[in-house]
Amino acid sequence: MPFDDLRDLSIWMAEAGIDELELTGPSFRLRLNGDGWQAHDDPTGDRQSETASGQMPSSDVVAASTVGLFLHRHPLHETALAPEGTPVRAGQALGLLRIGTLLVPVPAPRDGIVGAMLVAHETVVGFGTGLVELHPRQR
Amino acid sequence: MISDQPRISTLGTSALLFEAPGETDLVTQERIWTLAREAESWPEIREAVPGMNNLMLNFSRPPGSCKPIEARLRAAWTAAEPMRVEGRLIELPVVYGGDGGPHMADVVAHTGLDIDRIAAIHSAPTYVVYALGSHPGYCYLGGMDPRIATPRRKTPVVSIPGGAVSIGGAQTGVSASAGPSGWNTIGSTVMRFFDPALDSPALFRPGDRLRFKITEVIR
Amino acid sequence: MIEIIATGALATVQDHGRRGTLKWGVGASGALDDLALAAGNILLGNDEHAAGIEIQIFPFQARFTDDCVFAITGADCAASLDDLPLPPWWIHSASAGQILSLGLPRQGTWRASRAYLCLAGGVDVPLVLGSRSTQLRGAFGGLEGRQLRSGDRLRAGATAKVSGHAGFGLSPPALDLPLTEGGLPAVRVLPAAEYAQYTEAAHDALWNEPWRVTPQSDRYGYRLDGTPLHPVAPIETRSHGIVPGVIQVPPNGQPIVQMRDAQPSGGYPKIGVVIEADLWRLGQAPIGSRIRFIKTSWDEAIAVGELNARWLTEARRLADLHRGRTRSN
Repeated sequence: MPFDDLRDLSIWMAEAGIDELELTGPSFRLRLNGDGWQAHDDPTGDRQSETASGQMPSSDVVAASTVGLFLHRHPLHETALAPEGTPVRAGQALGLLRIGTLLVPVPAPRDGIVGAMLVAHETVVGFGTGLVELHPRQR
Repeated sequence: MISDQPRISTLGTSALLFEAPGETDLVTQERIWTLAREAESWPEIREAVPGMNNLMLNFSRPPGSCKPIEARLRAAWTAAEPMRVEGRLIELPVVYGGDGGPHMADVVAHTGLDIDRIAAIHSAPTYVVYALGSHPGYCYLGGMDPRIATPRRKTPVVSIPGGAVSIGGAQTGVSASAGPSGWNTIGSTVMRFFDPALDSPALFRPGDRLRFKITEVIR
Repeated sequence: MIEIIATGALATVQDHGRRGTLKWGVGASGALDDLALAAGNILLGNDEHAAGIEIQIFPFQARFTDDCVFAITGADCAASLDDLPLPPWWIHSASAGQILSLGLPRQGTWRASRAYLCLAGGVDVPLVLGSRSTQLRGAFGGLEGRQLRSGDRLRAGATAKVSGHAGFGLSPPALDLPLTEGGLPAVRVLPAAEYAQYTEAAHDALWNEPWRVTPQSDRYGYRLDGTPLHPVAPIETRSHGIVPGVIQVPPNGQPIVQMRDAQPSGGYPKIGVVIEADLWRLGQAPIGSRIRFIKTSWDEAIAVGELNARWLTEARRLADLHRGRTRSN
């Protein structure tokens, strides 16, 4: 499906107050939903051609629940908690927020596949700052 | 340490160490007991622990400066009268030498005396319990004959058993339980020195008296 | 509440140690990494005197026989609950029947050697002479005065409600309060009474050379390997009280740092004393690792102690705040 038409479609959905739309065809399935909905370029649109079955995953942006320092990895570890492409379960930590000496998890709100980190390791973030993308699981 | 003034030093920020001048003797130890009782009433001091003619004063909280408490300590020492203690007399049966005295040969080599002589000299005095320390229930004794003094070992031994009778420098003592020691073990005895269930868990107290009785000398 | 399935040597119940018992020859004992134990108790909202389990040899495995809330601090030992990996320095919930496994300490951003397993309400063993710490030499305190064995069961002081939230943790003080010298972990040292009686070469070696933690190092003392330290003339001292941190020098010149299970008195000469506020660093130094000594002053040593206390106060404030905040959700 041409990207330009998809963007027009998503803008129309938002204006029409449609929360979720699922389209299926012989070689694709598309699901669009309105969480964190913004009427600008959907960054996952660039990756539309990567999926083998021609599916078009949409993404959620997981946001900070508090002011703090966003960490990709635990201070004792050298590897990231949830590297891009990792499948995660609901509740699994995608990163950490550090407030003073306290560490709180940034949990995945649902099952999914980790997308891009939107904020660098050890960046100060505010309440609601988008931290990491979470794509739905491929079926 | 031979000098005519007490030496006061720090043990990190955890404690002060007060060392009385002169040769180690009972009158000085009796004054140390008096000093300990006085210092334990001071708010900065959690516990005052006598050693051999010395006193460790453990802080409940380390002070910003040690100068005031050092001055107070010197003044208290000057004023300290020997404490008279009515102690008990307890006798311990000892097997000298053999497997229970693995370092008797080192004492023989250092002193030039034979085993029987060493056992006789060691068991002759009535010892005074100067202090407790080292491990639960262990007594530091005063009154050993300097003829059998033998330096502490170059490398401490990993474990000697409870009941071990040992010489370290000019001192002697009896282990209350198995553990490492840098002293020279010359014999063994049997006694319950410590019971943690009791209000006063140690058998001995400073001021008690102790005699060793030769049960056997194994050559 | 928990049953030990497998443990190497030297897992013991420890709190912050016994006080006021030196007069009977009973040393303080207590956790070698007192900050880690305190942090575990802080995560759980436990009383600061609560006891935990100090684990020194890995692997370690235990089964929760009841629902339990617990925390693991100290060395990061790739802990897992059944198959689920657990983040370190974190509070977790376990259901009855779940198995906790601790593996070898991971050498990530901090090389450490001891882990602390804390339970909500503290490990419930009897107080002996005012403390729950294990007195190994005297064979009392902790669990029956000994190391833990397979089959041992330990109760926690509180029944736990297993909550669904994702938990929270603390950043380890080793990372918040780093201390190195010449690229190696370091501890601060105050000179001791006999310091001046050592040679210039000994002083130079003490402050400027690395010291290796030999395999003969344990809760009683750390035997260090390095340039032998010689006095100007032989020193024979009288038996006197000592504290954990005292660096004794036996005739072979190889220093022994007295640790938490050390005798409360000794007669070897002392060249220095590792400050109380840095003992936890040494307590985590692995066998075979090297450390450096940093000469410090009374004022600095006091300041370091206050820094540790502030770290703990801040951690407790944030943890209590967060626990209260998430409980009301």
